[in-house]
Amino acid sequence: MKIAKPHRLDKWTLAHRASAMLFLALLFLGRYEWFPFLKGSAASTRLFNAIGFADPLAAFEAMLASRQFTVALLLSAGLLFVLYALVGRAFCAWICPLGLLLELNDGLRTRVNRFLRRRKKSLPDFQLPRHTKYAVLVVFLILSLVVQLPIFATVSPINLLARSVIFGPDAGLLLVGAIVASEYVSRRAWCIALCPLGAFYSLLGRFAPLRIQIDQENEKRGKQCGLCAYYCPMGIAVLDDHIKKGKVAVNDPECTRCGSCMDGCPRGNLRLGISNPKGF
Amino acid sequence: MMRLVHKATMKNMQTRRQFLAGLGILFGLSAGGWGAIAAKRHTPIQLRPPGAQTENDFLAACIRCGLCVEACPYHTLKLADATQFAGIGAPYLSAREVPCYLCKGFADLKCIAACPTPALQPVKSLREIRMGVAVINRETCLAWQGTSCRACWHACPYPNEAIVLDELGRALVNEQVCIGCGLCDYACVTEPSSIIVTPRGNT
Repeated sequence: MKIAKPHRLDKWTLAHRASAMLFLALLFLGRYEWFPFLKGSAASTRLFNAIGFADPLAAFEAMLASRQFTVALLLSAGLLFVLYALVGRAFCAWICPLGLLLELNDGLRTRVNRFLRRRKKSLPDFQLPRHTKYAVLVVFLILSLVVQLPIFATVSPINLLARSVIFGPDAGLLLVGAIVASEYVSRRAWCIALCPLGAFYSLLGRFAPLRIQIDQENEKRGKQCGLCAYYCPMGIAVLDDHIKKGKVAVNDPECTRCGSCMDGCPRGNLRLGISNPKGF
Repeated sequence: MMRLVHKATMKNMQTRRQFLAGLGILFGLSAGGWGAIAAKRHTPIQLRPPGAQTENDFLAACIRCGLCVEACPYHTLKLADATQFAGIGAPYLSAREVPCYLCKGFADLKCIAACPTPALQPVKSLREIRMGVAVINRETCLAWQGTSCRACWHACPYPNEAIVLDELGRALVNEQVCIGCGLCDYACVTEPSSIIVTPRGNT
């Protein structure tokens, strides 16, 4: 069997970065009247001035805060609700502008670390418990209800970054900068352990059929080298469930479907596909 | 043995670190909660787009997406920055810079049509809009000081109704009719403006 050499950058990595960049570029152009294709920001967008999409978490928070809803809001949030129930946390890798920034920043972090290693030093990597984000989500939802403000929609660094790109820089970029800086103390802490939107999409995509599939036959003959887990930006032990429980797909709800593991696998044993719900 | 001890301390340190991290996050979140409450109390009340609910309901329902800002054909609406506390990312307008032209030349109010939430409510007629009330500063107003000027009256979309001139040619605002578009504020010839729209806020 042919064993391919793993690359740092491969087609899936390039594809999801290009997708996130394209989304941000379209939103940026949306500020001009002559560009009706995609308007809005990360909280809500409108396609061709006709089909509205609203971030289900922002919409849910606003409904909790204002104690009112409209059919239009339910519909536009419902569209994305169904989409993310099918594809899981794919938003994080394929659309999120902050996810893109932090991923590029992680590349820089690796270079800094490589530079430091020559001097027998390394950056600290202080890992936060990854379930913290669910607590953050619950606290934000309760706060929205009590304070009567959609808190995360207001201070979300994702939307602050998107709005800063679209409508011009804003002091909220300081928060984005703080998150970027925190990555040098705790690697990918925001996406893995803190982001309430990520937590929300993890819960939403708990039974998402689109998953990374593990090729059973090839994998048994392999060495279980673990490169997939090494390349996973979310720090998921990609093969664990398969080795211990014989699962045929990656069932971790934190998976962003970014495809880094597929790029990393030297045997090409991983692919993106539809799971049979019985196999979860 | 040494190795074991070392491992045990490492584990201890890790749990202590996790505990500290937990405390830190808990502290951060409660600080955030207090911050949100304090921010709401200190948020300056702004002129909101036409059709906006009362200030508190508006801030609760708006998801800060900026669709109304992009839809505004006169570039009147702006998104609030971090100085607006609870209003961060919500739309507002400063009438002295660009007033609300009530989508003159268009069939409907673009911001209301674009809003995905109930924050901006549809209006049956432009007269229903209640963004604020114009208030005249009689100390600086030229007409009230004896010079002939009726710039605000000319600019008003409802002349002789929202702004009426008395027998001496001085402007008076009828609070029942004034919709708060700010065209008078924009037109006022004195600097600073002698007719300023005060937001209706929570009333």
